[in-house]
This record gives sequence, structure tokens and C-alpha cells, in this order.
Amino acid sequence: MDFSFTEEQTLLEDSVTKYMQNDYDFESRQKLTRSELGYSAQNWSTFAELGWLGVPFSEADGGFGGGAIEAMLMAEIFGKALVVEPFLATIVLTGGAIKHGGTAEQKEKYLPGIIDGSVQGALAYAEPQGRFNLSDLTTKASKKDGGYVINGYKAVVLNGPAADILVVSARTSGEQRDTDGVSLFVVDANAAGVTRRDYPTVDGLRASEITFENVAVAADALLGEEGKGLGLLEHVIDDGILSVGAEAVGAMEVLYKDTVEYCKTREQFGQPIGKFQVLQHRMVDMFMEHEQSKSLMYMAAMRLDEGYGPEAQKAVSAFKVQVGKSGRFVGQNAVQLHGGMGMTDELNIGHYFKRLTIIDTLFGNVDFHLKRFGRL
Amino acid sequence: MQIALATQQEKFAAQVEAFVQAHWPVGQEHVQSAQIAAWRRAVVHQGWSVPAWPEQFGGTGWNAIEHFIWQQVCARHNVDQSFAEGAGVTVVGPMLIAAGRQAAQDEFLADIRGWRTRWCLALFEPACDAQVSAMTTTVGGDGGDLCLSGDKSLILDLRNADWLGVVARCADQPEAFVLVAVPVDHPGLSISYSTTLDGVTEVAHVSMHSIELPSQYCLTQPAPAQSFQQLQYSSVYATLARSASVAAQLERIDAVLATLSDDEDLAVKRNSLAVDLAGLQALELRCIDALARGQPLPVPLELMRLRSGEILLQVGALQIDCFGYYALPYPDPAFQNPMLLHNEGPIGPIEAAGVMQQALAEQVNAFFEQDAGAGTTALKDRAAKHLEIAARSSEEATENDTTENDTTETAGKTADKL
Repeated sequence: MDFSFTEEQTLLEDSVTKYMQNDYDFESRQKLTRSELGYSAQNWSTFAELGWLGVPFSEADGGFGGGAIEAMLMAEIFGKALVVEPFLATIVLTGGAIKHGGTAEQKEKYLPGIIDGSVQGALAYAEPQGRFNLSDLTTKASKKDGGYVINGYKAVVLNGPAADILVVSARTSGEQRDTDGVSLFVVDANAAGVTRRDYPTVDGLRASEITFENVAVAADALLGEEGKGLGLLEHVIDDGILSVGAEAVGAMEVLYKDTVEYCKTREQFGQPIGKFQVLQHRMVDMFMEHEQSKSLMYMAAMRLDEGYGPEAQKAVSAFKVQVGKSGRFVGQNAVQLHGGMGMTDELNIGHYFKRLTIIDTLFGNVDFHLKRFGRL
Repeated sequence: MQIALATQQEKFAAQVEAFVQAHWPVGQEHVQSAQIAAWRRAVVHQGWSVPAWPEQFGGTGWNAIEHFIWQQVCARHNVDQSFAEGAGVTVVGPMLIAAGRQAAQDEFLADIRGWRTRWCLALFEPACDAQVSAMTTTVGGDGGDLCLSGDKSLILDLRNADWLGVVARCADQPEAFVLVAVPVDHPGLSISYSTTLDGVTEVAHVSMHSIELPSQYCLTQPAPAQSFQQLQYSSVYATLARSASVAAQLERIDAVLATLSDDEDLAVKRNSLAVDLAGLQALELRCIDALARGQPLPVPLELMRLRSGEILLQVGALQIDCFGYYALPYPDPAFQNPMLLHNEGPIGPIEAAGVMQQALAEQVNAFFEQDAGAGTTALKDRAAKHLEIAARSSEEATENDTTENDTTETAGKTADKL
């Protein structure tokens, strides 16, 4: 049993922290959210130059051989800074799908571009009727001329507007909710028949509704085995949960610490409001919620690094449940303890709260993961 | 980072498990008193009776992870902890070792280590509960015998104890307090009992009127109130291993749930508890890892007590939910005798017998566990100080620091006198 980080992990943590502290202030972040792209291409290039985009990939694939723990460390710091660059969509989800399910040729084709920052990706898996059920698919891929033709509709595809490639889940056989018959494909985002409707999300990111109309892809676009893509998709989504959950843990830490500082300086009735016992206790509860989430984050990361299976899935779901509950508690209390200012757009508090609220919904909310945890 | 135990730790865990399997009736529903006595002898003989004490006083020298393993195995198999987690081993012994006089150490430590004497703590007073600075029980002495007077209430386990550890104010230095040993059969003690809300747990109330005691019965050097305010009713390692007991109880609940018709609400509650348990386990592991490295705990111990207490209460509530109406039967405490229960036969399923009492007993335990009765509020107050959440004005900080220095100085003077 060991909860310490290796020297390399500590160096990575220090490097990302320093960059965020020095070059990623809240005002600049806000400007980016209002820009057309929604993030900074310059920042993305810098991330690539610093090697961060290659961290979760193996050395054989051109990465740095990091695992879930390294990805968690980075995401936690991204959460503290409310980073808007599409690390989750491109690196964790799209790159992750290719890393876990791709052939040597597919990895060689896509991963170098992802790692050097020249290729953006998005995972198109959600459908309007499916809520959090990954196998509830109406999008279909039919075999034709040695390849496939994809028809269907994908909802709320994160980073859809910027994506060069899409990893798309589609049904190659079976009924709408069957667990078998799900396949994943790598699709050129600019292929004929792909149409997008782009929009911002509540937390300042970008997403798209994407329609696939007779989109023809070659046989080598298939990721993994035909009809057996659900396991791969679950693995990728669980990696994504660790990532957004770690972001939430980072965001909760900022909210807790900022709230404590605010309560020490904000005076009412002639004294700092931090002297009021009832407020102190609320902050103690915020601290505890954050620490419980952080503890389960470590467990989830360690389980994922041990190997993907029921133990890892269970740990991830427990973490997501905790993050959902804690994020809401910490976010709501931070807003309340900041008073009226906490509700305004100028203060960072509300933006962390919005990100936490979105994270609760992403990849399955508390209720969904509570049930999944019980089933596993 | 890794969750798995290192090879050495795995070996130790196997050794501990083998020891418990060999000496405790694992899995047996009702443990006989002879089996309990045999277990106690085995633990003492093994040299594991006071594991957390310094080695020169009989401790095992285990590291934090080994302590955790021992506590987890004991909790998982629900072994008798009445000595291991009793006031003698967890409070009196460590206080004697840290600040006791030589004569008191010679008089008491060997018997505590050998699990030959049982202790209970007299901390509460009728007028001030557990607030030490407001206590009126007083001990005086002018170099010879001690003279102790006052009323103490809410004393746990007095009926089984040989010694009573009384926190008392020094007569001639009112800012300082000491721990005094009183034999439970002392003729000057007037004892009455109350039953708590579970119908089984007893608490005692003791009146002491100018009772005389030998000077070596003053166990500690005089110290300020806060030294005694933080007395806890269980050891650090036991506090950080509570999840094992919860996990064992959850397993029993799962067995019951498997026999019930599907109930989605119950399933949600059960899963929610299981996630909370996973969170507690993860927190405990982080704390133990920090202790093993000599680092500060990531979460103050007060909050660990609070959290584990909350989860234990949830377990009780879930058990009651599982059995529905069969949580209602409330047999006379006389029928709590397991043998009688066995002969008479339970009302409803055997697993339901006494679940309500268990839940209520947990409520009683929580009262004592949470900062020796001061409760959630005091624990959170202390955690807030720990976390530096509480804002203090600079004048107040200076004033407090001065008061603390004064108290320490006064306590030093009292020590010389006593």
C-alpha cells in the first residue's frame, strides 16, 4: 500500500501547476470561453510542446508511458484552473479509444497527430433517447463495398466543433439496446454526409449535434472487434470519468479554499463571518466532502492502473457518485457563503459551480452510478 | 501509488489472520465467556495486548500499517475488544507513560498491560457534561494522602471495572487538572446506575465525599483543561479501522437482503451505504499511509470519528429498514442473555433479533465516541481550528496565547506542590 507519487509524477504535477499558476489566469480563461473556438490554439500547442498531450500514451505509441494516475494528476490541476482546452475530448476519450482498441496501423495513423497537437478529436457516443445507456443506439453502420455506411444522430459531442476525427459508436447488429452489436469507428469529421450544429455548453466548452447521413468509411475505420465495442466504450468512458472527476476534485479544492479565505476577510456585525460557528461547520463539511472525493479518486486511479475490470469499474462508479454528491454540496455552499457576489458572472466561484454541475451529469449522474455500483 | 499490500505486510496480515482463527471462535453467533477469557489470555501471551504502547512498556513496535491490519482483522471477526479498546489500554496507560509518576507507573502499568485490571473513565459531571474547564470535582493533598470530592456522571462500564479514572481539579491550583485512580470498591464511593436508551447499556453516577487515597493514585502531572478535553474513548488505530466493522455488517445485511423481495428503495440505500463505506475505506488508507510516513493526517482525526460514526448509524438504520415490522419487538433486557434468547426463540427472523437495540446502542456509542460526549459540534469546532478555518482577530490570538502560557506555568507550579 502506497499513496505517494513517483519522482516523475511529482515533476509532472509541479510542471502543470506552475504553468497554470503563471499562464492561465481566470480572466484569460473567460476571454477564451467567449472566443469562437472556445479555447486557445496557442495553449494547446504549448501543452503539446511540454509533452502533456503524450502523457497517457505508451512510449511505443510516441507517448510518455503514463497511466491513469498521471492523467488524474493533470486533470486535477486542470480542474483547479478551469482549463477549457479539450484534453478530455481529444486525449482521454478519442486518443483513449484508439489507444485501447486500435490496431498498430490505426495507432500509427492517428496518435502522432493527437500527441503533437495537430489533430483534434471527439467521441460521438451519446444519443437523444439513450441518456446514460451506452448501448442504446439508433445510429447504424451497415456493411457496404468492403466498408461500412453510417447513418444516425449523435448528441452533445464535446469538442465536436474543433474535431478533425470522430470516434463514433454505431450498431452493426442486434436491437436498439442490446449489449452485443455495438461497434466503434474512426470517422473523418469532414467526411461527406457529416453535418454539425455547434453550440457552447453551460460551463463554457463547445459541443455539437452531429448527423451522419450515408457516411462511407473503410473497413479499417473499425476500432476493435465488430459488434464487441461496448466493452471498449465503457473503458474509455471510465477513463473519462476519472478525468472529469479529478477535475471536480481540483475545482472543489479551489472552492473550499477560496471560501475559507473569503470568510476570514468578509466582515458582518463587526467581525469576520468566519467567526460564526455555523459557517465554520459548513466549511468543515466542505473540506470533508472534498477529501472523500479525493480519496476515492486515488482508489479509482489505482484500480484502473491495476487493469480494467469489475474492480476498476466499481471504484470508478463509487468515485462518480461521491463527486456528484460532493460537487453539489461544495459548489452550493461556496456560492451561498460568498453571498450575492457568489452568484455573479464576475467571480470565479459560480464558474466552478457550473463546471461541477456539468460534471455530475457527464457520463452518468449519481443515481445512474449508484445503480451501476450495485450491479457490479 | 498502489493499493496492494507489500509482501512483508501480506505476511503480517496472514500471521494475524491465523492468530485470530486459532484463538477466537470466528463466525460463532454467541461467544461463551470461557472463549472470551481464552482469547484474552492468548493475546496477552502473544504480547499483543497493548500494541500501540512504546516498546519498552510492552508495545509491539508495529508500524502504522501493521496496526491497521491488526485492527481490521479484529473488527472483521468482531473479536472481544473490551480490554484492547478499554480505558485502561487506550487512555490511562498512555497518560501514565507520557506524564505519570514513577510510583504510579510501577503500581498500575503491569496490570493494565496484562489485561488483569479493567478501567473506566469518570469524565462527565452533572452540571457541565464533559467540559473539563467547568468541572468541580476536586482533589487536594499536602504531600501525604489525596482527598477527592465531587460528583461524576455517565460513566461507562463501571460495573465491570476494577478502577475508576477520575479527572479532577487541583484544589490549590484551580487551573490545573489531574487523573486520579479510585478503586471501584472504595467504601467512600456512592454509586447509582441508569440504563441508556438501548435498554441494555448502563451508565453509572458516582458521588465522592472527601475520600482518601494514597498519593501514588494521582496518575498524572497537573495539566491544563485542554489536555483532558481531548481524551478519546478509542485508540487512533481503532478509529482508523472502523470500515472493517462496517464492511462485516454490510455483508450480513446483504445476506438478509438476498432473502427479501426486490425493493428498489432499499437497494438504493444499500448501495449508497456501500459507496460511503468505500469512501471511508479510502480515507482510512490515506490516513494510515500518512501515519506510516510520519506525515500529518490528510483529514483531522475528529472528522474521521465523525464520519465513521455517521456511517455506523446508517448501518443501523438500514438494518431496521430491512426487517420492517420485525425491528419493533423490544424484549426485556433480561432476555438479552443470548442463552435465554436461544431457548425462547426469537420473535421473527433470527437476524432481526435486537436490531433496534443495536441501532440505539450505536447511538449511545456515538455519543461517547464523538469527542467524549461533547458531540458533533465540538468535533467540528476542533476540526475548524485544526484546518485554520476559524478566523481570529489578532487581539484575540494574543490574548489566547497569553492565557495558554499562564495555564502552563500554573500547571508547572501545581506539579511541584503535588
